[in-house]
Amino acid sequence: MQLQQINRKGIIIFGAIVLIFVALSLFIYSITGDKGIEERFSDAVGLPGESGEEGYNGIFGFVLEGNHLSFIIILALVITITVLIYIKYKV
Amino acid sequence: MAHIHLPDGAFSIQWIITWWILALIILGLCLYWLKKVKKIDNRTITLASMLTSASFAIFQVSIPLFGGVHMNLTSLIGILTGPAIGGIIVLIVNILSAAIGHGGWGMIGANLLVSMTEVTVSYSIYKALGKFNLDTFFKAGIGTIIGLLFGNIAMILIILISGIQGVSQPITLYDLSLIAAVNMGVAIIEAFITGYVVSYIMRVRPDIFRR
Repeated sequence: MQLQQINRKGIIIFGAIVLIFVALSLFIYSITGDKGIEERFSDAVGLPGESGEEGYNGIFGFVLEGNHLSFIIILALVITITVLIYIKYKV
Repeated sequence: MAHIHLPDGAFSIQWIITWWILALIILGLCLYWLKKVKKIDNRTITLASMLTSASFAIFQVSIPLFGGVHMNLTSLIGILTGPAIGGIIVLIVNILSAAIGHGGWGMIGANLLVSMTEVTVSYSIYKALGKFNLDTFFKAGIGTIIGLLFGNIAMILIILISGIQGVSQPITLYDLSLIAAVNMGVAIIEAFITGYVVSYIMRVRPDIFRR
């Protein structure tokens, strides 16, 4: 019973915060329009926008930033190191 | 999650050095803490390595929400490892990101301060909410949202203080707040992810939180 009350308190606080920020974000998004984060920064500070990613829509809209080959190489290295550390020390 | 997406050269060299020095001082304190106060055990190194890989991988993906945004799991890092180890993880992620061309090298110091703010505030809020006996999911979720809010505030302050070189347009709090407001929409998604992961780990491996 007490646990249910605690969880209800959590739902109310978390739910209220979520609703406030979702409403705020959607409102600001509707007035500023559909822009990538880099474009938002450029517009906010008055720098010329970057055009390097134009025309590339990624996979289902998920776009990989930076140099793709470097990303794959570094990610492979980082994962290999993680696996080695895991084998040696466990979690 | 908040990250200064500006190219090298946007900040003057004085400010780049200033933010780097501040970030290095904070990192030095983290290392001192780990060496003298809280000894790091081997299993925490494994956890830190896993979080570094996950954060680096997810940070490079632009998520098609609100026109394209990023997540970097700073709150999850903070809650699982604490600010000292978290600071080192976000330094590595920022350096690796700059190495692949996502973010400028000169911006690492400033971005490290933003990430450190998120790590520290998320961790502190999560710990502070422990007194209220909330469910782990909600503690982590609320900690994430507040941590990322403070990260956005740090980001705005750094840009306002530094100024931008070579632009005639005045930089206003209003314009930067628009970026932060959109970022906070993504913070909600990150809050759900962090809440779920932390509550799952708490259920299956509660010993991780007792270290």
